[in-house]
Amino acid sequence: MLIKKHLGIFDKLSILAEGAKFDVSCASSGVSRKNLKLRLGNASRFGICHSWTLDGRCISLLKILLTNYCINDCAYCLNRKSNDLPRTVLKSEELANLTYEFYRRNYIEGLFLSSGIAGNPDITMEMMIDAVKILRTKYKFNGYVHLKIIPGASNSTILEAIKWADRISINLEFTSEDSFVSLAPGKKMKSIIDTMNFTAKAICDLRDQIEGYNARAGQSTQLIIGATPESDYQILKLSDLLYRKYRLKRIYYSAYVPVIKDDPRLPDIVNPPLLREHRLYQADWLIRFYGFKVDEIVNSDTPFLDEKLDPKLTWALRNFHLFPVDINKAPYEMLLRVPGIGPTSAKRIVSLRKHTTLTLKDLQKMGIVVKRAKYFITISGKACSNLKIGSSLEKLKTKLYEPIQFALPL
Amino acid sequence: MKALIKKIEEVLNKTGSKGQEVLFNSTPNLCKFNLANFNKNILKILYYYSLSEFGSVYKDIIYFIEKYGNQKKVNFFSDPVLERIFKTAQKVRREIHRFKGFLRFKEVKGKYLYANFKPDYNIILPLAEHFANRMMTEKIIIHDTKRNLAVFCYRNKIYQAEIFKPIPSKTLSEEAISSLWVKYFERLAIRERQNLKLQKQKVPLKYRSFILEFNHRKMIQNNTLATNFDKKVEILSTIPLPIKS
Repeated sequence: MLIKKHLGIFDKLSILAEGAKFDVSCASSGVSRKNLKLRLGNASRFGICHSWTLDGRCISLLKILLTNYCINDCAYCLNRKSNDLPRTVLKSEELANLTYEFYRRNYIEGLFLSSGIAGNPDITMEMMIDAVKILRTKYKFNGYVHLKIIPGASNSTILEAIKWADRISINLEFTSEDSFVSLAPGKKMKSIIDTMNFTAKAICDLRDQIEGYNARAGQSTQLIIGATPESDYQILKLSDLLYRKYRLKRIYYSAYVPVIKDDPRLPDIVNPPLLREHRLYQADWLIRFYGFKVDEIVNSDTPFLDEKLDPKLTWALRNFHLFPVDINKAPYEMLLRVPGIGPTSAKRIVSLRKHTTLTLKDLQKMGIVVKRAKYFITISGKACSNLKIGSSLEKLKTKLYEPIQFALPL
Repeated sequence: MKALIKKIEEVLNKTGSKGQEVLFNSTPNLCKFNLANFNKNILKILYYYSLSEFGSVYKDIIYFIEKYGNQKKVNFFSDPVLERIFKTAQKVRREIHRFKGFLRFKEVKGKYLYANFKPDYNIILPLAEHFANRMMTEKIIIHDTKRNLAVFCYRNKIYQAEIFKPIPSKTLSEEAISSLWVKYFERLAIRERQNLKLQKQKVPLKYRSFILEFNHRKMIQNNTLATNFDKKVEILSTIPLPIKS
């Protein structure tokens, strides 16, 4: 290893950004805060993206590691102990200053601070919190801060982190104990889940407290897709549990990017499974905003999502006997299940059909994807497509197939 | 709510150079009465529409108020004029949101933060409101170079400004920070996931000339990276020139 005595901030920034980039989470949403007492920054409920890199992912926060030194040797990770790469640490002051300077030029919406584990989890987390404290007090920073919890940190340190951050997260990465044993020998699934549980309770307890930031935007986590044999069914089942039991705000799915070559424990792939990741996000949305249950989307018989068609369409074709639904009569919940109708347009339909009888043209104007929906709806009893109900589903499938462009919903 | 009504009136009362009719001054009774009847969302739509500088803004809004002034609920899809109002307002709102992210400030001598941009719609005021609150303690100048409008914001207040002198040159630390940002931006991309089509969709080409990180090639060619800068920013000890890959 080449050892340089003094790395400048320029080198440090590139090394540590490189190490942090595989964390997909970048949202600056979930909390709305005005700037009141002559501080710097506010927060917007919907988040603001500031730029998009050439992979089409948005940059909202300054996503960076405090250090890329790490005592763990996780097989999939760029920063694993046995990987030969330049290592460095950012000083708290350096980091705070950098965030401040970037923020006031409107490059970023706030800070996303993660880290490798230097020495021990508590020391590392304290260093991270220290940087945020300097930013919050010395630079009077009032913008968004997302802090990563280091697996193995003590509860008191986590509590301190919650007080200074808007959102916190701990990455679960895998959905089964086996994968942890083989790929991340330094981490334990149970202890990470326990930490999530503790965090959820702490955030809930602190909710009414006026002082501090108290992670009001909740906690999130990330799962790696395609590095282990786990099925979509397992993944979505766990996601559902995390959303309900630990009240997670977001679960990010990250297609496995083969950064480490020639490790027999990892699949030998060239391209990350982006399409699978995309389908998982769609399924995740169905669970959270469309009232679907996991077993309706995937089950133990068909544990993987269909990559050709989106999960909502797959469900609709499988349950074709429930269709067509009538736009002017069907309840909101059923409208939501029609491919091509989302929450916004379903709400529009419900509020407008009280006053008028809707026509196909109205639907088009209201933002409904008519070319998809027309096979599944009737308008005041009249069918919208000349495809006979009960005619071959295969034919319908080919009609509805369309090439997709994946975008990470951030 | 009252502030919103005032804002709409302000925009519409401006006597434009194109000889636009003055809506609210000429018919105060009609509008004062009706505007307060609408709910906040509809007023917002009208406000955004009034910023669009669309040719028939005045006519459309009078039409809207006269026809729908007494209705509590409005179906924006039932009438082509209303549809135009709704769709255009949506475009304006989206552009405002976009520029909240895309505007790039640079520090110029005198510790001013200066940003210029060329929006499709006249959105400088709502943008200024956002930044005036966000950067309360900074002296910021936002400059719409397409319409030659400028505002100066300080301590949560917005002042209309006119730019009659050339903008001062950048400070030394500005060069350092902006090159750090460009470097960071390049480093953060995952090559294995490259998707330029998506990037183009998210950052349309028409905006790119004002976004620092999309113009860095020019910057490197001009070799404007400073090698020495403000000693106060002591953390930025050595900055090597980024090497073209």
